[in-house]
Amino acid sequence: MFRIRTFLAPTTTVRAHCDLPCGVYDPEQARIEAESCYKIIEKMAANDDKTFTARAIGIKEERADLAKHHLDVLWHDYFKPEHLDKVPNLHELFWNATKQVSKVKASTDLADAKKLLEMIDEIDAAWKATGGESKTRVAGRPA
Amino acid sequence: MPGLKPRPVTGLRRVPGSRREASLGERLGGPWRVAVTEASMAPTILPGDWLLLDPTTARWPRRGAIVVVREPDTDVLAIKRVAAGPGERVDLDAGHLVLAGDEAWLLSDARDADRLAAGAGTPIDSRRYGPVPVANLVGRAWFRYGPASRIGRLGGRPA
Repeated sequence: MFRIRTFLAPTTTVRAHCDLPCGVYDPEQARIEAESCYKIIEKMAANDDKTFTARAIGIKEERADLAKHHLDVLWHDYFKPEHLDKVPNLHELFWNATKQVSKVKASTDLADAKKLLEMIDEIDAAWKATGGESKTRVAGRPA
Repeated sequence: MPGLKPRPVTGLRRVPGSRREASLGERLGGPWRVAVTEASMAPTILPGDWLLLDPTTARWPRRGAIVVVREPDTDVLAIKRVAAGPGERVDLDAGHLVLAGDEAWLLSDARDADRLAAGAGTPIDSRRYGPVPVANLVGRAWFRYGPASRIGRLGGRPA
């Protein structure tokens, strides 16, 4: 039977491919950008210089956009329908977190940025609960 | 606008393909059987399917047929569906394109929602690399002979 199978098996492979997903995902990527927002708000509160404030606002909005992008990639590319069994409120987590990013983008309230960090930590827990930690990072750091 | 003469539309420059069309003898060399990897043709064709190919096809098969091609730019052997054949019109977001006599517009079957669910990105087909010249055609897939549970003829419209 095995021999027939080998005999029948095609020797040429054809690809029905899409964009290559690299398979590396980590909520830390979003968290670092969100932490930047947090620190920027903190520094803004401690500094009255107009130029500084203007720069800080610009950079905070840029970092918030990146946080949102990284959350979106996790949501769309890492999480799959079967993960909903383990994390039934997954979509709500992401919806709320990405909305919170929009809030942080416009806000100068440290509490908003803190709330975003907490939400990303919840997503981090969902990522860990679905085995993300062992599956989506290269074990150890590449040399 | 009055007073302005319409400018002639010259269209995009056509880069002649470096690949020449294979002769019948070369085409008879196959491949006659191929195995599929990856899922952009789901649900019609799934990864792991074994397909019979007709490599003698010298012209683009009709619209709806599933073909194996060498992708422009990369030369990767890929499987796609003919969405529009030579001389046919392709509707794009901004206007349309009329294909030349030796070109086809090839698309993947997988729907956007399925691709997102599978964690795959944008499909790699004519939406990325444009019309495919006939010289890149390797063959038409016409029959699935494995796995046993899904043996049958291929073709027709996407599900």
